[in-house]
Amino acid sequence: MIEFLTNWLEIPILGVVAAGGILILVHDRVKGIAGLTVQYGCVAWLLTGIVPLQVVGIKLFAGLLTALILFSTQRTRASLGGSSLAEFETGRSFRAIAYFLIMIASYGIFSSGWLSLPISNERLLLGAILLVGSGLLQVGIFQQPYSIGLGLITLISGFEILYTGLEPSLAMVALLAAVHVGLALVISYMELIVPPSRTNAGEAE
Amino acid sequence: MNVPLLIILLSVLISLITAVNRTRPRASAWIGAGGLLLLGLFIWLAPLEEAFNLAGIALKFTNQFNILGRALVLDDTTRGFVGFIYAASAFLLIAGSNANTNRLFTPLGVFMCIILASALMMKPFVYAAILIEISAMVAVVMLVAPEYPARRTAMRLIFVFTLAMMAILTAGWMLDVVGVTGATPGTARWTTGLLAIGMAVMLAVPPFHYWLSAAADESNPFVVAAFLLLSQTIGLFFLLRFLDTYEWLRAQPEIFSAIRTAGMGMVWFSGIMSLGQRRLARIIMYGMIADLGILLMAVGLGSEGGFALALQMTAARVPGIVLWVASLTYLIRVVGDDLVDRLEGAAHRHKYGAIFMLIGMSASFGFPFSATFPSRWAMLEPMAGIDRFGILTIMFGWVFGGAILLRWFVLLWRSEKRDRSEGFVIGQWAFMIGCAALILLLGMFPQIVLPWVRQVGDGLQQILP
Repeated sequence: MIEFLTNWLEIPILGVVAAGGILILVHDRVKGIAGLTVQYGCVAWLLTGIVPLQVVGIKLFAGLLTALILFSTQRTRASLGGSSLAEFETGRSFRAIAYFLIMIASYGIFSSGWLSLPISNERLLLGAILLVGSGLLQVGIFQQPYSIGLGLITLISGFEILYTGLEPSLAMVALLAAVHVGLALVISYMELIVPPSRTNAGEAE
Repeated sequence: MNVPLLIILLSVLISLITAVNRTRPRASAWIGAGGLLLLGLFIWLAPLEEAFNLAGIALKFTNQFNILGRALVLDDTTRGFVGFIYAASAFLLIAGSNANTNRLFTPLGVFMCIILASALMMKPFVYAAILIEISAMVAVVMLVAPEYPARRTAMRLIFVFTLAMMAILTAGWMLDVVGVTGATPGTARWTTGLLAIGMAVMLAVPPFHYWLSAAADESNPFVVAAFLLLSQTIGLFFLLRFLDTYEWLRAQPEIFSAIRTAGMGMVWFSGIMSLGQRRLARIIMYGMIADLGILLMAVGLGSEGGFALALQMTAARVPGIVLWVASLTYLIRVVGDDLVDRLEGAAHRHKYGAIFMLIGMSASFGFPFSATFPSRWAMLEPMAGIDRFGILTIMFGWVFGGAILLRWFVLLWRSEKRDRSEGFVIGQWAFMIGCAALILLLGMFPQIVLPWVRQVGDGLQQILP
């Protein structure tokens, strides 16, 4: 099982690219959260080669908990009359081109060997760079806390892959898991504390 | 008895009690502040790793708590820092109860104190970066409220602190695994750069202060100032510990010059940026950046005296900033906003609020007889021997501070809007007078904080022998 997972790391890498595409291009928040869940699954898969399965399990559990918190927030928000569509400030074609360019640039950074870190599996490094690139793009082009929050989660996921490869200690795993859950709670708090109608008005300013 | 665990558990208990009482903000704040103050005293005074008898029971306070392969250690290095964070938090909670903060301010303030204390006790301390990130998340919940929908501030704050976390963790890995010594200048430069980014975020060194301008516009100024004060204090403590722990860092000839230059840059930048501001909350934030700039200049002296002055200023700056921002929140309650147009003539409606605000302002700018003045004055002589531009910067700070003080004095008393005059209730009077007295006391007798500086110095043997 582990051998299969570690031999086919191309699958989670493609999954990361697809999940990033969903987060950046799709308006429906629920689909975005589904994309985030896929992304967490891919991150967990990528990590199977460097940390024990129990640790991967903890990371996956924290990721699923994060997605669950965001999903339940979305449901609550919808029940308060909030829109289920994420509002993006740029057009879809612009976002698609930007995402494509970021993916190309991320691959370029990987293949140039500029980021030479002592990680056993190079594909892990590629996955991490793609996630960091996708996360930075989301943080850079979005203005809504919900979308920026997902971007930050993506960014931290990429960093986490790199860092777990370098320092696979249990304390780090636990603390970084707490960061993911904490971020989800903060996003939820901000989504719910400001009523949806006021949110939209505030963002239109 | 395990002291780090005991502190955390008792703090959690205090946080829960204050959360239960959150509908009564004053009572909640007093409970929280009292509890934190007692814990702060315990942290300072508890006999660690020594057996003793208490009412016939043999006790020993152990100073290390192991969790998931890492340790929280309350030793000579950390107890002065942790105790200070507890005392400062207690002070901020009392002030916050009168500053229109949201109901969660006190319980979350106590919770943040636990996180920051854990960050300071964490060994190896570079791993505390994640706890600092979590403290920023807690700050977001304090900053964003229905009446303050500061979503822009929140995301900026979390973004910069995430960057800091990544930078410090990577530096930590380089220190632990790659190994940095004076013989590896390339790695040392990378590590220093990463640490500098992390420190710059915590200390709000421009351009990493950019969340502050949005925060000053969108959030309760008191909450912003409280978080900034704690964040800057923690950042400074980390900086001193890095300098104390890593010989290769101290050995880099340009490191102290860089710290000094950053400090000077902060003073000039803040002074110039304050000129065009129409919101007093923004001026407070820039004032805090400038104040920290002076403090960094003291660190940048690179001498024992410089480090001691920096620690002295860290303690002395608290009452001035708190008085300034707390008085502003009173004035905002009366006039509705912190814009120049609204505050014009505000002294006619809340005379004492305006007076105390100017006292806090002058203390933050380090004017004579105020708490930070003796340290600034003491910096002049050593600075003259190292960097004459540093002296000019300190002078510039005073001149600019004076100009801003004069501008606001004239503005607050300008036109007469005598529709309704307001005053303080007894608790507010007590707090304001207490703060002002503390500012004066620390200005006249700066040696009051020396025992604390000495205690911290016991743990920083390399830089404060």
